[in-house]
Amino acid sequence: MATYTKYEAWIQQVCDNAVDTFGTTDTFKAVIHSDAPVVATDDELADLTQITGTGYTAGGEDIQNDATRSGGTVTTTAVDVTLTATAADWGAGRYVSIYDDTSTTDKLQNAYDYGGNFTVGNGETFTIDFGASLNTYA
Amino acid sequence: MTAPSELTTVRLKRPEYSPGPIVDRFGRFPKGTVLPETQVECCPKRRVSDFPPGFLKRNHIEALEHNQKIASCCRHPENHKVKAKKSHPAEKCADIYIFYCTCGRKHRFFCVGYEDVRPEWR
Repeated sequence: MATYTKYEAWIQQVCDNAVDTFGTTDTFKAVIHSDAPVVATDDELADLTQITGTGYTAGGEDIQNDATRSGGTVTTTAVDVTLTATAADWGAGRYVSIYDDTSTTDKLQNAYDYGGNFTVGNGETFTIDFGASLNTYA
Repeated sequence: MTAPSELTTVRLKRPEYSPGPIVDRFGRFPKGTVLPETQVECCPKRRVSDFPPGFLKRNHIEALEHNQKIASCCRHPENHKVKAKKSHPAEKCADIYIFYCTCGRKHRFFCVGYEDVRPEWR
């Protein structure tokens, strides 16, 4: 896995029942941004500086989040997202963050660090591979 | 009745909490901080056709083969080269795969989930 790092205010959203991590009603999305996540103070999508570029939609892409429970553990899953640049105008990004697009002010869940800046050239792709599971709550 | 002896009290400590590796690796930093680059190459660039069938992640191969938004040459990963990186040296396995098409375009895959099988090579 890459560096799953939780935005600290997220746990309050979970305890306040302000977000639906089980995926029954809420839509989660992935965004690419250039600014390093400050987990203590960044708590909503507007706190991040998203990249721009033809083929990238501001607000990111639906990750089709879902979840299952086995015993006392909930495992969340997501579907891979592929972004395709259709012009050579993408700004440099480094981080991927996941947020709840249905929640009030789009609460941030977690961030991943790619470890360096990247750009996506015309006709190139960037795919976020969520593996078999995104995270667990136990 | 004898008086109790060896009296002690115990305070249970809460488990230590960490938000995750970004904080573990870089500490707490203010907004606007530019973090150092940390990627390391762990698997050199090789031809995709050099690997046995099924070795590379199937979803990566299929994502390229089925993407109608990319050039036809890019939809043939069997002609690409591929290399793998770790986003940070402390990562336990490769989490970045970059496919290089013969046309020069790159197709990046960033693996952020759990429980998937990651290929590595030397």
